[in-house]
Amino acid sequence: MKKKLWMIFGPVIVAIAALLILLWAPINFKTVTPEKVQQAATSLDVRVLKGESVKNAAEKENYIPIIGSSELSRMDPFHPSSMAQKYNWKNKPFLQGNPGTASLTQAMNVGGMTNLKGNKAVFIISPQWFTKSGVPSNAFKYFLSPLQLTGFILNSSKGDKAMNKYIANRILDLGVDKGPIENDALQRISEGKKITSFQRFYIESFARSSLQSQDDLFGSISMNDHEKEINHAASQLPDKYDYKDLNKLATKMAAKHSTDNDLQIGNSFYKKQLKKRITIYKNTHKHVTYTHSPEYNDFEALLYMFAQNKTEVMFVIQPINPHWVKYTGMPMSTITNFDTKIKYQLKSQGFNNIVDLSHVKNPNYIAEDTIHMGWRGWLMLDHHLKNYYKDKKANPKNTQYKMNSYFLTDTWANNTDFSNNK
Amino acid sequence: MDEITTKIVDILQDVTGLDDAGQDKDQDLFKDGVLDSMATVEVLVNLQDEFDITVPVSEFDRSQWSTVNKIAQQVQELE
Amino acid sequence: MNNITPYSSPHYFIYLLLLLLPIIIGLWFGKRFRTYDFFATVVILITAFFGGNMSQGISLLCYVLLEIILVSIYLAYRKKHNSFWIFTMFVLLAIIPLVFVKLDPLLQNPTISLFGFMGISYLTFKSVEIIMEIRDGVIKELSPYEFGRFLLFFPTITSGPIDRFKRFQKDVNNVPSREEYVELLHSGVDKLMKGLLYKFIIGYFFGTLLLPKVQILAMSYKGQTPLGLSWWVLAYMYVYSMYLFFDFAGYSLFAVAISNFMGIKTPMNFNAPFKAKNIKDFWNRWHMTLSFWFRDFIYMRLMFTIIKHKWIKNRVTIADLGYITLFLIMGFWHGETWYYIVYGIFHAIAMITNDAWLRYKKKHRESIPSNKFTHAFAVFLTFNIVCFSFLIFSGFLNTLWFS
Repeated sequence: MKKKLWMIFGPVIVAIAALLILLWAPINFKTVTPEKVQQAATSLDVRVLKGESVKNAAEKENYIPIIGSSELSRMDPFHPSSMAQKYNWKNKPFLQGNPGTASLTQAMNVGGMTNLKGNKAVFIISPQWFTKSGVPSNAFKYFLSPLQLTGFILNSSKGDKAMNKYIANRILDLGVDKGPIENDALQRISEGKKITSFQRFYIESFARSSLQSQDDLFGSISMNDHEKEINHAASQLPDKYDYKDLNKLATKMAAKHSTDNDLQIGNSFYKKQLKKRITIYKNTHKHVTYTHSPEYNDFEALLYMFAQNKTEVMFVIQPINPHWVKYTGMPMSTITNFDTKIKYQLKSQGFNNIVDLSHVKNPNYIAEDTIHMGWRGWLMLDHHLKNYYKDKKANPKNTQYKMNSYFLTDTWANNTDFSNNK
Repeated sequence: MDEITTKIVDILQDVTGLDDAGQDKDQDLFKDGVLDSMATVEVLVNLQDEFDITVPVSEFDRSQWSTVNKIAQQVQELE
Repeated sequence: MNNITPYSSPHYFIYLLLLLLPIIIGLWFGKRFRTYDFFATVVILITAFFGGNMSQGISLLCYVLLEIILVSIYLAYRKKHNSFWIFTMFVLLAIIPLVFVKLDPLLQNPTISLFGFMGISYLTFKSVEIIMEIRDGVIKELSPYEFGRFLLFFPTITSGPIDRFKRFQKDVNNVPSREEYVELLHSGVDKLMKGLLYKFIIGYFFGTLLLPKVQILAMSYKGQTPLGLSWWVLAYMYVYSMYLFFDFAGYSLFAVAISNFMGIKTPMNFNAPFKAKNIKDFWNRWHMTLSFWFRDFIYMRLMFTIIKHKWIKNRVTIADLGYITLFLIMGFWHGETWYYIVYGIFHAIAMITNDAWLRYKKKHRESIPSNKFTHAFAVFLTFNIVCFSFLIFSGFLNTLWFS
């Protein structure tokens, strides 16, 4: 009988033991190699965004992250990854962002990048995030990393209390459910209380350690691979870097790729997304505004995370294709007002490095399609990145941030008359 | 008993159109594909008429009606 | 707290096995703790139906109460009379809640959706079986407790397999011997492990990792090609079919495994369905408890009635009519959308064609070759026809064409 039972349950017990060891034993699985990091830098794989180990390994090497959203996948020759490769920038871009990632997702992401401390980063802002309803719950839930969430909960004893409260509240409001103990811990943080020692124990030594092992083991295997795309893009660039020549080349190439419409939208995008229903967009954005949005508060949480990490950040305000703006009937004031508001939020707290591409003299082919930068847009950004990427360390003079929790309030989210009040 | 078995084999051959159906009295009629649902129902209806018994479809447990011998036994019990 | 769908995450099993431990120990020592069984059932029902706003749980209770009343009245009635019309009325009454729930997407009426709870279909199958067997005189005695225990047997409550009352009673009223129970544990562990592999590894691979990617690629041809067709639609068809099988077979394995731990031999739902050599064979291997239910309680009964009353003489016509009825009902049961109905009709046509082919083959036995290759071809053809029917079933064509 004993032997019979062993034959039945033995394999199960062995399997469970193996699993326990794999997930919880304090073994460091070294799977992140420099080659993996290089692939991850342009792979845009969700696991890279949601994980920690690859990004933290990259911070130890010569990478400076570019954090944003869907525009990062517009890999034309002028894409920063392509330029950095062709012109041998000392530091290389590490892309973090997917269609649907916005400020709060990136706040969690930045919060998890412990090795970002004292380094530089680039952040691309999309005006389209700043809608009345803010980030859709589904998108946030999809990108919310359980690993980063545990990190946030454990770090809640440190850092700014108002920010921790805000983030915890927001996560709960967006309907995240990652387990009863995590939920209770978030609840406490949202009420401004400390998490209990049991919660700390469970999340630290049970949940997080297993998630870390999983991230180490599976976070970088068979990732998306865009290296060929980048190589191909870089191969189309001239050997000599000359801004004027490149500018001409960008215009020429972009024109060649956007022949089937007069909105300067890339052919493939136009054919797939717009051709059939282009007319329904005519004049639909007449009343769009980007000045009343909970996204401003999420964005503030992100700024706090940068400040906490003493990260020097270059903010990029992404352009919208001006022909598209005209076609959809969006008033110029929508963009101007957004610019003013977001810049106020940034500058008043000491984030002074802002590259605003939403108002440039010649906006021809600044976007690859409707709302995503590309071609000349990338090139203009590259022009700023070129110098910025010479050094990876943050200049301490540029990280003297003066954080203000007013920007976490509803009042700010809906304020449009901010120039002279607080 | 023999009479019953002969009649059952007749019915089986009649319904399936196979001359060798039911030759082996212990052959599993369902497993070997001699009877499908439709043929089963026909056999049941024929049995009902032939022996003047009622076979409720739900009492029809396949494992107890799977061979000629088993069918004969069931018929005897229901008669 | 939200409702916890049974077997939906690996964590569930840790809690479930803890809950089962006293039952397992009891059976090991030859005892069934009826009170504890009851307690465990209540715990599972609460976690599965009473999380969140409790509406599902209340529907479940009302539903069970209704069915108990119906069955008890019919049982009392049947002891004295046996009218076909009264019987029909009770069957209709028993399925009314399910009909309401299935009509919901059509009517969009918020009151109607109140009837719904996870697994209502499967409980309805069991209830209808009981009423039919009461009519046939197979079930003569049935206490509300026994009925409730059969309906609410928790390992199978949300998605089957659909057990039969008499079979279930035989197991539940019996305590397996030590040797038998060891065998049951063995089968339970095997099935549990296989289920984990099916649902959480293979099913996850196809359903969570692959399916969304293929779907996006297939959708990108929308409006570009005639009917939006591309090779990706074909890929979607296979990936979805694999996902459907591994997810559902995995789930069913869990239900059987947990039943085994509780000393109940719940019947299996799948028997290597993609090895089927024709469509009829397929239905004997796919979601077996459902197709057997339809076979025994709809198809065979309909055949029986038609033949007995000699309404129709031609047996081919009778069989074909039976298939159409059966698969249309199955289609409507899945839901009131065009693709479920078309799925039903598609399978009815496949069955009718298959029967015609088998008749032809019987007549020309000598001239049609039958060997390893024809067998392989038959399996291949059946597999593809089945996968195509799942493509219809998936509703993907609806998204591709109409939304």
